[in-house]
Amino acid sequence: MAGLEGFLIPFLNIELLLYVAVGVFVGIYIGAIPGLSVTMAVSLLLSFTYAWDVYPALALMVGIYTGGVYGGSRSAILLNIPGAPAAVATGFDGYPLAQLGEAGKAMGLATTMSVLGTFFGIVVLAVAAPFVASLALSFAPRDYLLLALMGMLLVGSLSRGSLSKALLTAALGIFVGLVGMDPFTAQPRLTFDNPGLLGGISFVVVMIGLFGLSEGLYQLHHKIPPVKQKIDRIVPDLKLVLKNLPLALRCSALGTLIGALPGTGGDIAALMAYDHAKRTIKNPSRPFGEGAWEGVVAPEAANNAAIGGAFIPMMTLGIPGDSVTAVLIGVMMIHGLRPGPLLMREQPEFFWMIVGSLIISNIFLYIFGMSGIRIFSKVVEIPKSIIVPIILVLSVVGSYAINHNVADVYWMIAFGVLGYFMKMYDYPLAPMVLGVILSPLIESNFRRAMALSHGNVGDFLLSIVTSPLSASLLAFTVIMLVSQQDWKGVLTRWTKRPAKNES
Amino acid sequence: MSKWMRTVGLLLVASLLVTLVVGCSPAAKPFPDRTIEGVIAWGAGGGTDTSSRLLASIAEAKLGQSITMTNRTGGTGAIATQYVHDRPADGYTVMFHAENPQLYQVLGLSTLTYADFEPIILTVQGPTVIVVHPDSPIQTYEQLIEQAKANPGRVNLGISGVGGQPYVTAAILKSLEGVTFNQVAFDGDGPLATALLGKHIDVTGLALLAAVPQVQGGTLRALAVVANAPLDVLPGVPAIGELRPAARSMLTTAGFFYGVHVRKGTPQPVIDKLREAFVAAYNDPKFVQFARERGLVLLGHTGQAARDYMTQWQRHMAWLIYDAGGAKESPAKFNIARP
Repeated sequence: MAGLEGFLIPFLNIELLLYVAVGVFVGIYIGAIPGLSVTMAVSLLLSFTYAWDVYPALALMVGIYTGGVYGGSRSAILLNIPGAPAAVATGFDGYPLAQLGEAGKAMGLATTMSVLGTFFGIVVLAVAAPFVASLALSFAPRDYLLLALMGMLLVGSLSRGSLSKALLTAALGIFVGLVGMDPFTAQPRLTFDNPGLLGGISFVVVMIGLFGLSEGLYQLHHKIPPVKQKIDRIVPDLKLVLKNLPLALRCSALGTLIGALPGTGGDIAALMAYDHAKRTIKNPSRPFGEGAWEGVVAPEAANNAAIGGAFIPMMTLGIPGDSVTAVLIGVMMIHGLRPGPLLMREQPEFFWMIVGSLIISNIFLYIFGMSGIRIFSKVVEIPKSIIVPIILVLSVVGSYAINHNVADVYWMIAFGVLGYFMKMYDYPLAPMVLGVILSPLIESNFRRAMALSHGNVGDFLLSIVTSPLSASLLAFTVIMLVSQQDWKGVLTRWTKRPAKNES
Repeated sequence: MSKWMRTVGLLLVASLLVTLVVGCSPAAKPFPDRTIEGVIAWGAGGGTDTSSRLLASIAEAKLGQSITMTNRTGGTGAIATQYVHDRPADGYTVMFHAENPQLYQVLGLSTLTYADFEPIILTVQGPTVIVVHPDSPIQTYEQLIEQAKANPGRVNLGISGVGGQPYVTAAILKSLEGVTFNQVAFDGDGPLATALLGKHIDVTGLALLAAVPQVQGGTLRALAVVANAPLDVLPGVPAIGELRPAARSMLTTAGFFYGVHVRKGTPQPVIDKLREAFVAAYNDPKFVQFARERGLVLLGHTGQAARDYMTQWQRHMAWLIYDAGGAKESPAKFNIARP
């Protein structure tokens, strides 16, 4: 393999090692603070590093990327506020674990699984990038639609008790996702002639409001006493890791593929992995949603595996797999490189340098991730009178930081208040965020697929059945639906019904 | 409260007021005396973003003040345009944008256009390249037109949204050849290139920056450049202006352009200062090299020349889109003269 020497570049240069290390460290904090995103950090650096050499610039950014995706789990576990969209699913079981005094162990497990997931993604990137890239290209709009619909099945997994309540909040989320300019005709929808709404409502704003502000309000109202944390064992014991290894590997594979698809990333990967865990693990350590280790393992392995995935289309085709790799392409362009299908042939050392930097960032991720846990665990023990104002301030700052728009802060507050009442009346919040995330994916791809079939429903359905990829995605979705159904219950209801009619 | 405390309090308030007044007075401090906010109307990593960030990072050094660059995306750039227009006209908010505002009125996206702004510099211009998959039976521009004529409205043409460059390209082809396509919208150049690479669409018009690496790498085949002259970076690819001399006037300004703008009403000395810095950045070898390597055409228009260029662009494109049936409002309504 040509250019393999590039792999060693970051290992042999102490300066590059340092840049990766600083990147990971800073990334963890950026990821942990809701509203500060990796994309924001790397695009800031794009201006900043133009005078640098290309290697240090890339090394720093790769570090921030890895740290940032992982960092989101911190605040999700400790405060029930995901620091980034990719960490939404981590909070489902991570926060209940913190409430049980297991925050330290949960973070330890999250770190281990993130490292494992990142490593899986890197290996796939290194050995199978062209293959995965061609697989990703074969995803037609109809396949994205099927994938998104598969994601919608998550509503069932996320409902606590009442399915109709979960469906209602998911529908509300989809509705919020429709606000803004129609992606096809540029017609303003639900904007009430307000130009500020043309761009729609950012789902990060919805997320911060629903999880951040509402959690703060909820904690003001319900005096939950701080939970004393067990911090004697942080490194998860080998038995727990080994037991969850098959699940972690499956979720890593899922994460890598979803990360490699342009247009879907770590957030959707983590949610689908959580769903996968909930469907396949029949005997979790605790019921899902109440502090199952599996509920932390699945999303954390998947969202970090998506990093390696996102680099696949970027390195092989010059097409960004997500917004962070889009900025990295910009960095390479500014430094006179030509990211595209020729890069791998002409300058393969860049590919291997990125792979090397990812490996190093993964090592530092483990070191920094593990070493900070003891201090971080104390966050849960901080009295509410101190932590709640911090949550409120962070929510406001975070929602403003996304787009430097005060209107976003108002939306955040609105969703925060809505979320508070939803919590009070036992409406699950997660399906709503899921709806906002998946709404544009479902809408655009359905309309795209229909347009490609010239508006003919018959052709559209036929194209799903005749394409091997679409047909298998459809089969998966149907199996997921059918296998979860309580057929015995349906049968007894069916047999009982006539008896009822007679009486 | 004792008299003494009241006196001290009054004194404190008075001193605060004095500092406030003095601090705010326009005490002839030369522009810029604080950080400038740079607003990029398109997302991180794209063409507008990359070229703007490179340009701004050189201009900062010339201005002696830093420019903090933020992306404000959405509404085909209308959100950023509105934001910059709502800021004070003092030169401390600078907009980095593409050609889009010139079509906001006819597309019904916003009432603002570049007439509400003062151009600092128009940096580069680039055409659209019509591309197909290498496996496609369509080998040349002529074959594409034949195909489209044989199957009216059936050939799938990917667009990046209403008013985007592929959309304009479809309008040009309709006006020039009378052909119609089945237009399918994607979320931008990246997704568009992906869809074509995966053979989910038949043809599209990609912006130069996105097209060149794919064509050079042999992963896409270029049929024609939507311009009057062929490009050095794409040897052997004909320009539509060569194939159809009748289209030459329509194609003089065709394509995208990137520029730097401030709100109208900004004091002339401030505009001059910004222009001086950005012209210097534009002439910097690093920027010139960046543009050349990507096949971008260097414009360097300032002042009246920039305004003329943008007016020309608007007249051609607004009417083109209106005639193709893609506009919401007639350009006549906004006093845009037919070319």
